[in-house]
Amino acid sequence: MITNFEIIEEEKNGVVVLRVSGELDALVAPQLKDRLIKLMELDKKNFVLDFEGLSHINSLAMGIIRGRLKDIREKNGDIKLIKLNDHITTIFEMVGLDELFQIFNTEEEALNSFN
Amino acid sequence: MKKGEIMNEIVLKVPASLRLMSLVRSTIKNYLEIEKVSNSEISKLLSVVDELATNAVEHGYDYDEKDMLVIRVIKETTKIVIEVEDFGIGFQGEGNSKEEGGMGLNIVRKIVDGIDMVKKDRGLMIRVFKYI
Repeated sequence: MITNFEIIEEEKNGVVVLRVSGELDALVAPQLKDRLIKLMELDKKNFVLDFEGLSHINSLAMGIIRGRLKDIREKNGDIKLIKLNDHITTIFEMVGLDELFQIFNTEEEALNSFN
Repeated sequence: MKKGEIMNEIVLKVPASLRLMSLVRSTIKNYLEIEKVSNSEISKLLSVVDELATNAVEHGYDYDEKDMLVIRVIKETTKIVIEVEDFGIGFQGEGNSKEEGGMGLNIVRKIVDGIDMVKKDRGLMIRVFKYI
């Protein structure tokens, strides 16, 4: 059975917005890692991850996002998160990732924070 | 089990494959909905199942899909019991993948109200419970 995972990419004012939906489990987490690495190779360094459509996240995926955040900040870029549902917020808080990432309610707030 | 008693549990025996984790979560979600567990509790319990089963696939079997996982979910009056059993080399405690960095078991411990790891001659059985 294939998970309903999907990533939709969009660029706004030089910031790459990745809309991640479905179930981000250990099977599909490498897809997000590969996408971020390819974008970084294209010199993209500012990202917004939109989790509005995300219903589930596995610790492997969180580890991948945390790892990329470190790499991107070393290049003076950043990853901001938006629209986490209550469950995803709870999971992030459990492992302290809510303190590592800037998390916003809206895309506009996240995009403005890069200025 | 007494005659006429309803056994509120499901048992899934599946190949140790990450490809099947979505099916496992979906099946357990349906079962917990039938048992009228709240959506908030279901989301947390699915995270527990996913982290334990993924650990078993990774550490118990090193991604060898020839082996099986047994996942049991039991609805009792005041709690949900989840058991994840593998028959491989067994999860070695905190030996999580580098990328995941040990977060999986931390999440499980923060969600559940009790955890018990039973090392067997072959493999490991982790039993957790959460009051609802």
